[in-house]
Amino acid sequence: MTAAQGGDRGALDQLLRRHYDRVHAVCRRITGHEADAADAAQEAMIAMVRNLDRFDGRSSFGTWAYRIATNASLDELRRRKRRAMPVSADDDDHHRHHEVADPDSGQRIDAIGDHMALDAALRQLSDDYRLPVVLRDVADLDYAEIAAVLEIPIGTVKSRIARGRAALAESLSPSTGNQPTDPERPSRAP
Amino acid sequence: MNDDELPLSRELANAELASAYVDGALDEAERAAAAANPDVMALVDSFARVRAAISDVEPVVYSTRTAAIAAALAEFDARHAADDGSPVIAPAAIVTSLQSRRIRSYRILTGVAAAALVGVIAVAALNSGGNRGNDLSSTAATEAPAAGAAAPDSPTAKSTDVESAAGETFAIAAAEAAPTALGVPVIESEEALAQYATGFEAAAAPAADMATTDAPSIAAADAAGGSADRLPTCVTSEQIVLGPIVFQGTSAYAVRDSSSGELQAIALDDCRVLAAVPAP
Repeated sequence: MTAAQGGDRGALDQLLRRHYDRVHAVCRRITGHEADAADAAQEAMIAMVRNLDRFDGRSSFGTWAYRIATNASLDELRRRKRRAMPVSADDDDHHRHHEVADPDSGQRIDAIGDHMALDAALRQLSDDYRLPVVLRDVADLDYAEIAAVLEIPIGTVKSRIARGRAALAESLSPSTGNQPTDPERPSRAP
Repeated sequence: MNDDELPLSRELANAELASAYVDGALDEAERAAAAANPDVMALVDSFARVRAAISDVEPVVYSTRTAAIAAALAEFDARHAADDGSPVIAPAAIVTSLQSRRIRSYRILTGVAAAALVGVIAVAALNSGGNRGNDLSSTAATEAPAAGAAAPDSPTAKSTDVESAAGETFAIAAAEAAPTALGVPVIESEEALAQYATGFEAAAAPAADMATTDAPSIAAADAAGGSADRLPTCVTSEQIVLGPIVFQGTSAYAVRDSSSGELQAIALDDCRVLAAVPAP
């Protein structure tokens, strides 16, 4: 980090590579759309470079990066609303490819169905609930880090994560036929 | 008033307890209390599934990752060039929407595909002319202009008229790559892929001198009826598409990375890198 701030291009390259996938994952879950996530993640990478000299080390680089990724994703969502492009032919085509060409298409379709249901459920959540849930479950930030990123009290973070998860669980419940099939994962304590 | 200051219903209290349980944020006493409450444990199970699903994000497409990091490094270079007093490349010229880059890449891909098809037809015509004598060489003279008529400004179409060593290399590579009925080469090994690329690039070199923009390729693609929206999202502006191929039975396209020089065969369906040949 220090080397990157000092102008070491190789160090910056490594830093960006180390954090890109998780930044993209955060963008993917906030925007709910692959192309928007790719744009937001790229904008976030550029913003990190532009603001590298302002990073003071008071938080971890990851926390700082996720704050930038969150803002880039929200910017991208605002741009998307202005574009008024609700459905991506790109994504539909991608899904059709799997349905037709993949020998394991049955499982693939289930997985795609899960992902689409999850995207739809996340879209129904307001930013107030979606952001803390994503920062907790995708970025693996603890409550204090999420509070710092979103600039809200820790108690509010806990409450919003709980409410967001409850709303998602309801949207994805078996009664709606959308229960995710992924197994339980161990979780890092916040 | 914050959310945590609102009075909690039993459901919300249970949800907060279950959520904190999933996050491992409870002390032992709270954890024991949660574990003794079946309603809370049902929520714990449900929240754990939600957490697992959310954290299971689809893997990043390699080219998307590479393009984003390249754009960020370009920004870094531009800023440092400005510090040095060197001419600055405006970031806006480097950073474009991935969506728009994909559209541009589709056009390049369809253009190259059309040009490759023209090349294969011309090579076949030339070979045919060579076997059957000068009286049949008019086949090439009639077919090549026909292809040129489909893409009147295409520099690669013009290059088919050039009987050069480069053209012969391409002919050999194309012949060894066993073109299909549609003119798409079938390639079985990395060595053959490298040979195909070398031949293709050598044949395209004379045309490159004439090409200044994508416009001719786009015109060729349009004239050939290329369907850009059927093409994949794998290619970035840093990658030069050589043409569509069938690599070891999988529909793919051959791509040269303009920065590293690496040659790749990328699957059409899912953007997998089927083969990678380091720069020569």
